[in-house]
Amino acid sequence: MIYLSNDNRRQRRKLLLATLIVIALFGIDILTHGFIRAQVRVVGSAVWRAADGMVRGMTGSGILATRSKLARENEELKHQVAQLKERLTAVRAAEVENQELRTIAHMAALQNGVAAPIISSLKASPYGTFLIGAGASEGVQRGATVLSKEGFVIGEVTEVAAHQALVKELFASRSKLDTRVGTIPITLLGSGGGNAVGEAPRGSQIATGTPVSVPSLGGRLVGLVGKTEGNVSTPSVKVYVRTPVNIETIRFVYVVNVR
Amino acid sequence: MTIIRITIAIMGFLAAVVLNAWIPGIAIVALAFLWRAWEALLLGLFVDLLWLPSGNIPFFTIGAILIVWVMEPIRKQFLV
Repeated sequence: MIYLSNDNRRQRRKLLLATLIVIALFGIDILTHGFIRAQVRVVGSAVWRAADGMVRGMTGSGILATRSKLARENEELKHQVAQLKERLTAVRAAEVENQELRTIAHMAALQNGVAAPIISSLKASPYGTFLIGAGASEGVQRGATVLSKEGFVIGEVTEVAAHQALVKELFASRSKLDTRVGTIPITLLGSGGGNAVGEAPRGSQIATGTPVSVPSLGGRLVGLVGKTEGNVSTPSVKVYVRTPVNIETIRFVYVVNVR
Repeated sequence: MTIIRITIAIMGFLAAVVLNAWIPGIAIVALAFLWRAWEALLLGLFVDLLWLPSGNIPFFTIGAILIVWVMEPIRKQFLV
């Protein structure tokens, strides 16, 4: 019994020490203006890229999907098919990437900014944030506006490191945003994944597809009305807004610094 | 049991980077409930360092500390 009690006490001390270390690490990070978090994010984005590459390779090449069929063929043909499919996937991925970059290059001709790849998951963050592969060295500033290739605002840069930056989604869960739906001013409440909801005054006539802009961002577009609920008899009209592009499939963004 | 503990911790860390935020949250609760798990605290800190914009409240770090210490009396009831 004495042994167990001592062991318990030792484990408890270890936990207390770990708690103090965690608090100290957080404090050091704040005092060093985010030195630790910058390192953690470098590791995090490297892990995400490796995992993302693996998933894309496996789903794209069809190695797993056609294994039973290929098993009936001889070894040489199996190898050749897999190789060709792998090459085709790489070419297709490059085509998609080129297409996105071409669109962004067109955007660059219209306004000064930086094209940046997304280097983290868009759904893993509990705070509605994601990482982009451009930072202070590339001219990205805190508060910069992040646009999709279609020119819709999808977020704002909240932290900048040397070669990466943390972006907070405009429609992050529970975030509020003063917008203008057509000509009607509405405060939208973000629900994550590029979706938001707001309430317009009773009897408002809002058509599906009406563009939604943000006056504080120079009238830039943030989304389109996807659906409305309510009529003249209801106290208000519920307006559902979404970004026209699926935010989880975006691979490149365009960052415009606020002057 | 050690293997389960390590597996939950690794899953939590990987999920914090690649999957949904619910999974590291569940991992923290599971680790804290079953063991005096210092890795639950690190996992909470890791999520906040990775995703938290500056100036916001570090919910995962604070949550992990609270859960680990709140679970202490409960854990005592179940563990030898």
